[in-house]
Amino acid sequence: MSYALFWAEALITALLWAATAIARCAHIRRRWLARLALFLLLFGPFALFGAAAVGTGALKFSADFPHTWFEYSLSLLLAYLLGMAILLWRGRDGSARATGAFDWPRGRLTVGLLTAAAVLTMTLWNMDLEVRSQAAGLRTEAGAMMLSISPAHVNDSRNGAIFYEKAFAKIAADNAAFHGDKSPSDSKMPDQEPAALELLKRHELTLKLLRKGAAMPEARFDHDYANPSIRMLLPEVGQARTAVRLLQLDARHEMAHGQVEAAVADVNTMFALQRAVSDEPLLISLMVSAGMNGVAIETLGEILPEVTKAGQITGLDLSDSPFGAHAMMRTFQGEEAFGLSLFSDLMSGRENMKELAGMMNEDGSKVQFVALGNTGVQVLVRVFLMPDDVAAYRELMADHQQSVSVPYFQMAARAEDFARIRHAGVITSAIVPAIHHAREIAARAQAMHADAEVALAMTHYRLVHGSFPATLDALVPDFLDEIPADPFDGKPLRLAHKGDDWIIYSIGPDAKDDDGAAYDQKAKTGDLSFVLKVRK
Amino acid sequence: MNDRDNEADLAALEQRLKSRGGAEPSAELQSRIMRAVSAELTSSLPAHRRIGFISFAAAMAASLLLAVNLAVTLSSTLLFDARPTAARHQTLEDASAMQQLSPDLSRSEAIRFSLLLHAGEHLTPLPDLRSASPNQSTSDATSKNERNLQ
Repeated sequence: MSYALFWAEALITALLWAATAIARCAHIRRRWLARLALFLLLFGPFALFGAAAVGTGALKFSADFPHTWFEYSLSLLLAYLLGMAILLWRGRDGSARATGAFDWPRGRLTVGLLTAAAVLTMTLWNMDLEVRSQAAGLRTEAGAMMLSISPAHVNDSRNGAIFYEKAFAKIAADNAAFHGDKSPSDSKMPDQEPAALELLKRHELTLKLLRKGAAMPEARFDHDYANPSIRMLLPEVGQARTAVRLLQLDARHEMAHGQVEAAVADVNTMFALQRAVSDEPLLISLMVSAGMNGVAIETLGEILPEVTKAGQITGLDLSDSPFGAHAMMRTFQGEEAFGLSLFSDLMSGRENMKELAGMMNEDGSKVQFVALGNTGVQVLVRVFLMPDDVAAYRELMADHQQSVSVPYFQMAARAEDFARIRHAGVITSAIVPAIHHAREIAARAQAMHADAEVALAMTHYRLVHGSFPATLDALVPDFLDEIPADPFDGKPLRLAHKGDDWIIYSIGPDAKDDDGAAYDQKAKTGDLSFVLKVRK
Repeated sequence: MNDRDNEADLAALEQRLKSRGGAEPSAELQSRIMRAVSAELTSSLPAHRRIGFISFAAAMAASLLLAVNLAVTLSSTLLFDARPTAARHQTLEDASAMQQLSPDLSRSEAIRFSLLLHAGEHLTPLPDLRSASPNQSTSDATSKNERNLQ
């Protein structure tokens, strides 16, 4: 209703502007000057409404925005043109029904114009205020949503996060040792590097704390999920990632001394820590945990060829992938809560659109948001585009949440649909993280995890039969319930045999079977593989 | 022309005016004027003056409405949210930190993540009604013992 009122007030103001212009120009003695001034004055509203009609039309027909106000803009332009034509006809000299614009009350028309302009401004202002006040509701909704998906409370006696946090504090105190180009924590042969051995010795207690944490049945970091602070989350996730590298170093050290069980315990700790991080309902946590998963699987690949007894790997259980539908659903809901909160900040004026535009232009790829730096444009965006933007954002996130149970390879075919919805809102397109990319990362981690699960089953097979099976089918049902499906085509994972290498692989994001060729991160080609080497 | 000439002219003018004859106003003039003034004061306002007053009253009412509207609008712009907003450099710094944690992230994606996470700090605080399990107090004691052992 308020939009209709705004439309009517805009038209009245424009027509009063036109009437005032005609009346005042009628008093200019020089005819050419009067006509020029009249043309320029009447052209003002026409240009404004015309620009609105063209802009909204472009959004409607080229950018595929669902709600563009094109009809409102066009009808306003046409109504103004019609009204202007009537005024010009009535105001001409020698009119049959009027004495011409010369006798129109200029003073009253001017006062009327100023009043109409004031009313129009205040209507827009009030609409902006209403949008701002309703934005507070979004923040409440986001808070409730975040709480609904936050991990449940865990008794301290069962909570491994208590030990993790202590270990993280020790890592943070020795932060410099884990960073830099030649950090000892990256050593592949720690026993040949005194700095790496020194690091391990210095962090014996840290490793002990991490293992204690992993031995606990659950892990819940003590976060205020109603107001999760990025300053608290990021260092913690970073320290978890560093902890995994420390565990990898220790596993290599243990392997060098033939301590396979201890190395396996380190890998188990890595997986437990990674699961704890992926439990956080945040996309960044899920992505970092995918990286931690990769480190753990790389370490497992170094250990499995050295396994000689089934007892050494009994404790390893990889059947539960942390990158499944539930984790993705929780993560997407968390992202939606944060997104709604950002909308709320933008709509209430708490977050500056100019700042947002500046940050989006940081990499030079989002120049279209420069216009948001203008205060007037910000008000118009808030009043006319933001409500539909929020609706588009909700629709997009609901679609993503519904699609989590759909296998990645089926979801990939819908990428264009998601891209279309994403462009349904100016702010939506600015803040929606590349969820499709996040799903790809999760699918890659899922594939790698499945590869590792099959590799573990093949190792069990080797310990029983003395050699690896020729096909993966031989693992079912004694060593595997079923061969895990490849997230990138839905078919069972594949096996390739090259020399001494047995390669379990997924075809990867390019959906091409490269016969187990190593994955190229930059080109995104090749297969996601787990290489099992035959022990000589 | 000097002052002496002026004085002469004024004296001549005074002389001419004194010599002019004229009818004295009638005795009823004063009473007629008084009656007309009295009638004007006691009768209702003429039509054109009534319309002028209505216009004035309407203008005043419109001004009042505008003023009230403006006052309501202006007072609604008061912000009571005292929580600090994240500075731009913080958001960008955190975006860099995220890129280090997850090298797969592009710069623009990391900025989006950082923006969203900062926005998450402004969620409306709500009570978490999901209570812990009933043996929370005993488990707390246990965990404290465990922590003391570390």
